[in-house]
Amino acid sequence: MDMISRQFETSRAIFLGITSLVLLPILLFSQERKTGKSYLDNTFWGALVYASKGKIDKPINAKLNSRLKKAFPSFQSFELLGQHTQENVYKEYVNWVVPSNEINLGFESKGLTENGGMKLLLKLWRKKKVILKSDLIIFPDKPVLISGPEWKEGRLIFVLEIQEKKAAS
Amino acid sequence: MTEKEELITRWIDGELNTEQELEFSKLKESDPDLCASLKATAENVREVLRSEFNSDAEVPYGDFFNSQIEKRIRQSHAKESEVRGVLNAGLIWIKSPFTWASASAFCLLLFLSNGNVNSTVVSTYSPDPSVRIVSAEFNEEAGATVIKLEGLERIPDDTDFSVNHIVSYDRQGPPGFVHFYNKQDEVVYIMETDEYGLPNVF
Amino acid sequence: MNFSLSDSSNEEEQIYRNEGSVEIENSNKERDAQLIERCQSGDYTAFDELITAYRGKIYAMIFNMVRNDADAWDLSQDVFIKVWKALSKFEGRSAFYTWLYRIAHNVTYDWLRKKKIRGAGEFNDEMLNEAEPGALTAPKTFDTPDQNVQRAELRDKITIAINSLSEDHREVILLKEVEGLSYQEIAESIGSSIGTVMSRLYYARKKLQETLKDNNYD
Repeated sequence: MDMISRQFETSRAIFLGITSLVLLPILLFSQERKTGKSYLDNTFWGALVYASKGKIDKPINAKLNSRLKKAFPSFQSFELLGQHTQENVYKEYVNWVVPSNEINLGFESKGLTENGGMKLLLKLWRKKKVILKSDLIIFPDKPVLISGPEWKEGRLIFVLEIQEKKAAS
Repeated sequence: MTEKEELITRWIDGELNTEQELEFSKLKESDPDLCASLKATAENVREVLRSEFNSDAEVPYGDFFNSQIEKRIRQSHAKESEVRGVLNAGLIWIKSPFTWASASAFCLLLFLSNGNVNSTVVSTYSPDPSVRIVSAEFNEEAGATVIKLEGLERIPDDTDFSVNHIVSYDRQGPPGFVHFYNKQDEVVYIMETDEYGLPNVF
Repeated sequence: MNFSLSDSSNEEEQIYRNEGSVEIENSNKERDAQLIERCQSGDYTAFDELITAYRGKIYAMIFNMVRNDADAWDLSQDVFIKVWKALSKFEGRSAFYTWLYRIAHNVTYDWLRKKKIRGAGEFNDEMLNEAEPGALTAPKTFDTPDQNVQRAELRDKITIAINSLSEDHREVILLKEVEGLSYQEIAESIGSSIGTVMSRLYYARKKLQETLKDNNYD
């Protein structure tokens, strides 16, 4: 019995050793892939959208259109009023999404999370007044949609999306 | 600070002891104008400060304020307990070969998958009492975090957003200034964030 | 021109107020001690009572420094979270509220450092206007319309001059004149010596005097 248990112990030790050798690089590599090298690699895409109950001549791309329809089912169509991409979003630095004199969305990065997201502090301004403050975590392909004030017959919606930096071709 | 300055400060604040009072009376005799002038300023300042600045104020949404603190403390406790629990259990788990087998399978799965986690709203609030946050949560169907607000001041219908198709931007110029450009490479907005975080759009 | 805002001597009222406030202070100390003991044994409801008791003071103190209600709201929460974590280390050698103010001071200064807000020699009109939501001013009624105008002008000048002080000087003046803390309490709150407190008070008042003299309000 002693010999058998010793053999079992030895086999178990060998098994654990091999498993950890295989496991460790997989864990490290998958973590690296998720968080990226640094927050400087992260790019944001921001847009201001007009949501209308009527039809619109210039509809937006199908994917965003579908998302917006599911998030705001009372609106029929969505028009892109403005958009831009912001690269190298620095921590603790205020960035602005599609500015205007009437309404502004500012956001600050508060650093990466362990599971590949980014902590953001959002502030929505109506002229010089903060009307919304939000701490949230954003992930790629999981944008933030904020319904803003009414305009014309519909409503303005801010879209903020974090994009992973594309590798140079 | 000189002894003279200390005496004057204590006198203004009514903090002279007996010995210091004698010292001060000599000082006052030698320079009555300085003492009187400083005291008058201090009294004026005191009165204005007490009327313009509060030592106590009503915290907006007091109950919500308290509940947010409790929520953050509990979240931080939960995180700490989780870490402690994991460390303690680690030793037991590490001995089992079955744990390693399933862990390696899980890691392979994680590596191959995109890490299916959703954006999360940690906290949301509006300092404007006329604004109501209808909802702030992840919408599974839309695959997005959706924040819905009511009670916002309407934007005038004649507001022109046609210039908002911004192609590029740069941060040249004074710190806190950002230039936004359209397709024709013309500046459409200059955005300034002042040191208090207030946006100024030009 | 020697122009004073004070209407008359208030010595008797001062004595009466002092006696009354000593009683209140003692009763608060007793209440705090009981609540802290319960907190230290893990009773969160006691901490909730402490928050309710002090949140107004902390919010006001931070608002006076940062002049923005949203940020003051956030920072006040940060203060109480730090207080909860540090309560086990509170030994009662100083009064609870001076220990609390110390934490508030540290939180505010860390935030100001990050935001790089330096008030020395600079004044921002917008900040004064933005202060409206938190400001609960109750203007005094004066004797004559002329005096009303003059007092209002003096008030504005003083407010501008105070906002032009550096953070260190402004904080000390506010803790002394608005919060009514003693030199010792101020020193404990800001983590400095009594000498430093008095020195800052003296130079803050001197600077205010010079500013007001320049505007012929001496």
